[in-house]
Amino acid sequence: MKWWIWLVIVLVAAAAGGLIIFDLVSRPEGTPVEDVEYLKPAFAAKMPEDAGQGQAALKKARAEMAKLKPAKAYIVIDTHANFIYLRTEGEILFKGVCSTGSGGELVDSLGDRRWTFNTPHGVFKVNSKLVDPWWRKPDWAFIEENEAIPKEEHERYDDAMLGEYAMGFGNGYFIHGTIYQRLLGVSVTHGCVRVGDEDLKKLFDMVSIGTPVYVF
Amino acid sequence: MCSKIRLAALALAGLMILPQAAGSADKQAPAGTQKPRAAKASSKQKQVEAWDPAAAAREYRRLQFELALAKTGRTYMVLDLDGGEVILKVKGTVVWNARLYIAPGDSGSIRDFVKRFRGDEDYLVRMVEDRHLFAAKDKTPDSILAIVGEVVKADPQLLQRDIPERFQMMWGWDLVLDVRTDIVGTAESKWDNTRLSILDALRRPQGEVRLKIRLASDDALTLYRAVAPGLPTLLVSSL
Repeated sequence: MKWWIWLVIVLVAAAAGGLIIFDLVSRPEGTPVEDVEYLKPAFAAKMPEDAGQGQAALKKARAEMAKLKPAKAYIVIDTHANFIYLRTEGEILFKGVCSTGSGGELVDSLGDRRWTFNTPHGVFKVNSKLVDPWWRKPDWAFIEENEAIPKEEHERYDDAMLGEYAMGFGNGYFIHGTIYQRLLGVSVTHGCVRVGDEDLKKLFDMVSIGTPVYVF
Repeated sequence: MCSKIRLAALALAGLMILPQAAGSADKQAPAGTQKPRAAKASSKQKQVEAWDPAAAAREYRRLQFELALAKTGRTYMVLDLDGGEVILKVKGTVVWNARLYIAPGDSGSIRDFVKRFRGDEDYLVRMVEDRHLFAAKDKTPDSILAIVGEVVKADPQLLQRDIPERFQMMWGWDLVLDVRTDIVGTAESKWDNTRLSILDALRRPQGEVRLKIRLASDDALTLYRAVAPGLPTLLVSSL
C-alpha cells in the first residue's frame, strides 16, 4: 500500500478519535445543586440530634408535606400528552383525552397586542360550573379570523363553541366541550382545555366547585 | 353443641384471667389516676427506644429537599426506587406516576445507580442535564398537522406528534436512564443515534451507570415531554 494511503488512514483515525474525546470531555458534568437558590435551605437544614427534638422536627416536616396534598380527588391536566384525569394520590378515578394550548402566537397587525396560546401550568381551583355555556369571544378570536372586532357586545356571544358544560379554573380558562372532536389529543387550543362530550359530562358530574386543578 | 361448650370454656377462662390482669395493673399503678400517665410514659419510652436516628435523619433530609422542590410550584420528578415508581409532582402532589419495569440483567445495578446519583456529596436531588430521543412514531400525520398549524397559527413542530419508542435522560455524562416502550418507531437521527451509541460504549468502562426501564407508550410520551433539561429529580432509595 502506498504511504499516502496510510497517512490518510492515520489522519482520519486521529480526527475520529479527537472528535470522540472532545464529545466525551464536553458532555455536561452535572449542575452543582448546592448552588441552586431554592435548595439552599434544604442543604442547610439539620435534624436536631436530641431524640425528642428530632422526633418533633420530623413530625413537623411530615405534617408540612401532608398539608400540601389535597384532601379529596383533584383534576390533573397533562398538557404533554393531552390527557385529563380526576385522581387521588393512589387512584385514577377518571381519565379522558383532551386538547390543550397550542403554544402558538398571534400578533395584532393594527395594534401592538400579542397573544400566546398556552394552557397555564400550576395549581388552580374549579371556580365555576356552567351548563350550556356561552362563549364571549375576545378580540383575538376576530383578529385570528381576519374579521372586524364588533362594536356591539351581543355580537361577541357564541352558544355552540363550548359544548354542554364548562368548568372555569381562573383567568378566563375553562375545561369545556368542543365541536372539533377529531382534534382531541392534539395541542390546538387557545389555552382552554377541550374535552369530548361523554367525558365532559362524566367529569362535570364528578367535580365540585373548589376541586383543585393541577396543570403540568 | 360443640360451639356452646367452646363459648362456656372461653367465658370461664376469661373469668380466671380477668382478676389476674386487674391485679397486675393495680400493682404497676396503685392510684387510678396514675394509670393513663404510666401507660403514656411507657409508650413514649417505646418510641424513644424504636427511634432510629440514622433513618430519621435520612427521612428528614429527604423531606426538606422535597419541601424545597414543592415550594417552587414547578414540576419535579421523584425517582422512587424503593416503591418502584417514577413520579411527577407539582407542589408535593402526584400529577403523574408510572411503575418502573427494570430490565432484569440488562441494566446496571440499582445500587450503582444510587451510589453514582448521590456521589461523594450525598446528593438527593440532581437536575436532568440532557435527553435524547432515539426513535419515535408519528401520532398525527404531518399533513393534518400542517393544516392544524395553519388554522391555529402554530408551528406544526410544536404540536404533539411523536410517541417515543426509546429515549434517554441523563444527569451528568455518566448517569443515564434509558426508557423503552413496546411501540416501533423510526430513528429521529441515525447519525446522532450511532454517535451516542459509540460514546455509550466508550463511557461504560469508565464507570457510566445506566438503568433501563420499560414504560407504556402513553406514559413514555408524558415523561419524555415533561422531562426537559433542568428538571429537578429527587431520588428515593433506602440503599
